Amino acid sequence: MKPDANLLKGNLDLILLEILEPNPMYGLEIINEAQHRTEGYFDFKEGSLYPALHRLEQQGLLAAEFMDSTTGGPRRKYYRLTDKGNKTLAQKRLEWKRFNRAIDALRGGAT
Amino acid sequence: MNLEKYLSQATKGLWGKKKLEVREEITAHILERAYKHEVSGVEHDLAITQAIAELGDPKTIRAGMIGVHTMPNLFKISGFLTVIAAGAIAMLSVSSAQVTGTTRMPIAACTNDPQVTTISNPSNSNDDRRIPCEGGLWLDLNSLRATLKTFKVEFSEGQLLHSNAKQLYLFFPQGGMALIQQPQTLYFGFGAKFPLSGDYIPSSSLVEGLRFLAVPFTMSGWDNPTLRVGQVKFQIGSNEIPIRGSDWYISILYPRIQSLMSGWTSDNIWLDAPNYMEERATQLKTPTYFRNYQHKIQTELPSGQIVVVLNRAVPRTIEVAGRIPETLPSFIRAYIATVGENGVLEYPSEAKSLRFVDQLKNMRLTKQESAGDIVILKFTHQMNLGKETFAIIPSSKLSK
Repeated sequence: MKPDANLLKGNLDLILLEILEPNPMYGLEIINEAQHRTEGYFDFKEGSLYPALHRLEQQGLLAAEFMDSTTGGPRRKYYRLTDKGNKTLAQKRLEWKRFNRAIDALRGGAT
Repeated sequence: MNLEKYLSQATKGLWGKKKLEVREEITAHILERAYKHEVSGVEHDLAITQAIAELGDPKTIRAGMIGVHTMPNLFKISGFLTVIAAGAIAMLSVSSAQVTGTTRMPIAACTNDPQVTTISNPSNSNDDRRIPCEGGLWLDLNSLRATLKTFKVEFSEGQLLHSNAKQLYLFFPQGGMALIQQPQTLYFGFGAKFPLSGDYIPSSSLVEGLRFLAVPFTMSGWDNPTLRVGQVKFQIGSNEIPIRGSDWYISILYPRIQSLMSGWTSDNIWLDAPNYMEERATQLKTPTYFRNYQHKIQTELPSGQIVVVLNRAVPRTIEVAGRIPETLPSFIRAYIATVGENGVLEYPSEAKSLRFVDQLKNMRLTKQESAGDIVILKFTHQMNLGKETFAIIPSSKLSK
């Protein structure tokens, strides 16, 4: 089962920051990594990934650098978290935790 | 759809370095995806087609990228605000709305080689002709549309019979319509003509169109200047592709000086600004003798005020790299600059000393190593409704 498109869109920043936290990655690698780590649950619309990465870069949450391809193809643009990105990720994780806790509380209240 | 067509559609509306970067990034994505298909036995062209299909509609990338790189920051920060506060958009976005532009002539046949000048031999085919890419200031029409639409400015367009230019009509919410010309072809001597590539308008055509509005239109600022029409306020240029205000003021000033010097039909105008020519194009480098003496003029103007210093130079042949030497019988040098701290205006000149005069007609020819007569004009920011765009500063308000 795939996630609701609105849910994915609303949390895209958090998802991208989570994926990029351990290592710098380029676009296609991010897509593959998301699929791999979530066992196919997150399947990005590829065309909307790049504008999102550029937006995060412009907001200063990501920094990017072109590097030569390891397979001899065109250069790849690698994205990594900045200090501001790390702080935002920590904040978003906290928000997400609070949100989940609130949902759990509602569920607990309903039963 | 082939790769080139896809890339072209995905990056339409972007410009300069950013466009090239997005192209490179998307190309790498498609080729790597395609390579994986090829490894599993798919033929090369089909593999590219599949990779493109997986990436999806190029318009999605284009819309997203334009939203990030050229749309007003307001939209970048919060789409939510735009929905609930449509009425407040103009107030909120005044300082962040940006229209991108370029100083590169939007002609496929141009060259960056400074040794090449316009080839105007009529026997050459258009393909053989090359012109320098450095050519004025051009605004990205898609960026202009996107920005103005956020202020509820309506666009309409038409084409006049036998006209080289498309007509763009801009309807402002406060009332008033501006007619802007979008040339489709540029003409160079001896009938050499080149079609324009992409959606661009010369910056002067926007200013000229807005000058006939019935609502106040003002311009201000040196780097990435701000234009304001009633509540509609936006910047020309961005941090990535900065636009010097001098580029604009020069084009506005030109007809003004021409009208002021109507009695001197033999005079040409040499336009100059601090580092303007050096930065924009080496082939247009300002002759060094204009920089022989650095004068400091005390004004009563605030810091940042835009001014123009005019003087009449002696006849000479101007030789600059890459251009045919130009012999000017006599000419007006128009130097555009901003006033520095404490009202001090720095002015490089070939004249050893300066003399302030109040009218152009009283200016004598400047001789090197002697006194130079100058008239200083103040830019008033008001561009229409019969207001003077430039006002002469009385010599009594100036000192050395």
